[in-house]
Amino acid sequence: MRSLVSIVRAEEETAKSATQKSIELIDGFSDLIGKKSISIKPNLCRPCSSQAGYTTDPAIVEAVIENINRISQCNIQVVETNNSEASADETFRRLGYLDLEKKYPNVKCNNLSKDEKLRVSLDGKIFRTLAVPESMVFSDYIINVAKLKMHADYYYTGVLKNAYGFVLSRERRLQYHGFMHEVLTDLNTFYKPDLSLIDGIMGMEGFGPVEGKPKHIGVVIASKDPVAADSVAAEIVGIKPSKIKYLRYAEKNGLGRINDIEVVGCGIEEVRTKFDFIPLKWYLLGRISMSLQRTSRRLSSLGRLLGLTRSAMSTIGYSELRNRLSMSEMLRLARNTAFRIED
Amino acid sequence: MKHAFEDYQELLRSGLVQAVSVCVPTKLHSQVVVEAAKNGVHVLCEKPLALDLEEADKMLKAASSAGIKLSVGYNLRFLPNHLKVKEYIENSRIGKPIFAKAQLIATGPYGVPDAQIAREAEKRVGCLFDLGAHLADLMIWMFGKPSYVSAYFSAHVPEVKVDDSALTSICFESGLMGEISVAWAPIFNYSAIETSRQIQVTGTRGILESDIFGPSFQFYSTDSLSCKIKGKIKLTPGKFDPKIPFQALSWSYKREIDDFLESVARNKTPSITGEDARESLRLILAAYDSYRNKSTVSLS
Repeated sequence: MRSLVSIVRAEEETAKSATQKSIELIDGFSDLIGKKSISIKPNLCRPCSSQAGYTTDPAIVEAVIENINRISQCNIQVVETNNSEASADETFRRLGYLDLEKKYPNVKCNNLSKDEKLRVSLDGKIFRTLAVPESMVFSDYIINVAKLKMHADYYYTGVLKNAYGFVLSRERRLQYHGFMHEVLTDLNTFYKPDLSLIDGIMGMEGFGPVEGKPKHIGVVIASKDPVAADSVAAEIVGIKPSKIKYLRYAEKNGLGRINDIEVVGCGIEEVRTKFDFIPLKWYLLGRISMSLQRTSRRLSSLGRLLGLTRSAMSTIGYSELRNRLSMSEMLRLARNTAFRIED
Repeated sequence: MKHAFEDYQELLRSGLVQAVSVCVPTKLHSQVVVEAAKNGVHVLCEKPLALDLEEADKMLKAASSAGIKLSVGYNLRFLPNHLKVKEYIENSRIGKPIFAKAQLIATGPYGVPDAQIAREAEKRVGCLFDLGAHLADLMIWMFGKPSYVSAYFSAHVPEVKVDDSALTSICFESGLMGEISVAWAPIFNYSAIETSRQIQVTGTRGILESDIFGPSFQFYSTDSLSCKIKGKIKLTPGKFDPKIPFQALSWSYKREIDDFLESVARNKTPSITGEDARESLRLILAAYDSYRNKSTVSLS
């Protein structure tokens, strides 16, 4: 079966009705009945407005809430973590998200950075353990409401990249850039969205996701398949989805499809626009920076592994080590130490 | 060293200490605790509280008359994973609990040289008494009062005259059915017996499995993120490392002592009271009665 993606033309004033239509076109809430605790994750990477191209328009989130409330009465939390400029609470306040709490009694804006932290054993592509906010553990339906932006390092940011906001530590967020494709696959496997929406009314081109220029596109995109939603959004702004490494990696790991997509509502050609990318020299410098970060982290882990090996050999010796651990266990231990991250 | 004593009674009478930790063999708990109480000294007593209920009652009465704090070393209650599991049960995260199975395999006396095994086993009274006491305390703490108990014991080493494996079935007043399985076995590989050291709770909407010695627990419920992924998810409360199993255990001892000292300093009831310890002792003793009389014992 092909992945279904809807594209609906939208402007600031029509954001709510467009969102509703985009969800209806893909029968987005067909699996909502019986769910008790829904999490909506907008992109609130800065306390800056959606009109400036930074963040998800609260009107789109409100439309999602109204749609949910029409179908079932459950608890809804709008979730975000602290960003580098403000706390999530402050960001919620400045962007008008707190009005949703006042208007809908079943809605709560939840700063995940303040939540109790649990460590989940993932055995993922890169994460061995991942720090997760407890309230997300009790969530049985996740809606990812992303913002369509260009990313200076990865070309594009939308649904899958929005899950990066689930990394609880701001410092760690900076450290994981070199491993973005593995990190996003792990995060989107754990926090797999049941419904993905993209606010493409006012996007951001150039040095996105936070230093670019706003660019009008005028669409809302919806899909049950996060990879397909991102692929269509990237295509709309002139980026070939197959050029985006983290999308290819996510597809390879079963998170969704880049090709074999059925588009409903508007066609891609009808709304296509062209985002200006950053100058090549700055992109290449970014790539070198990413590669260095990746290599230095690997070298540091390898150094740690050598240190541990020396300790084991000098204290109990190789033959005793072989008695206690099989070769496959030793290799797994080495792999986990050298190539895995404990978040 | 400023003060040294050859006789514990002399220490208790000296007026130099406000509180003591009683770590003598179980059969001597009563005489030391009663003596401490007489001298107004607060007590943190090792588990199990006593060998029988008569001794336990003597201790409780002495503590109550003297107005001292009496707490008992059921440190596992302070493990972060058990605290979370209790919280999840209370908040109906897995619906209504139906079954609870606690299992603990430990080396016990089989970790000492062969010639000393029989003596060591006898000192520990039996494996249900030795290991099961912790599990009985956890079960009562999580699920409330037991109403019926029946048990089966066995010993696999001829020179050991007490139980080295025991299976105890418990009906709780809440309707929950529980089981405690314990055994002494000389299995030293931690990862091999990891899954044999768990308390598993099955509810109407999910499952919780908590590592007896911490720090992790597994969680599945039909209305959580776990049902969206691969099933059970293994969770470890915040500051603990799932790769270091005894890190949380060490922390639980510290918490146990802190809790006791806090109860003394602030004149409040300790988290684990002498009465709590009497309840778990009553359950363990009823299991021995059940095996001896080959019948189900009522605890109501």
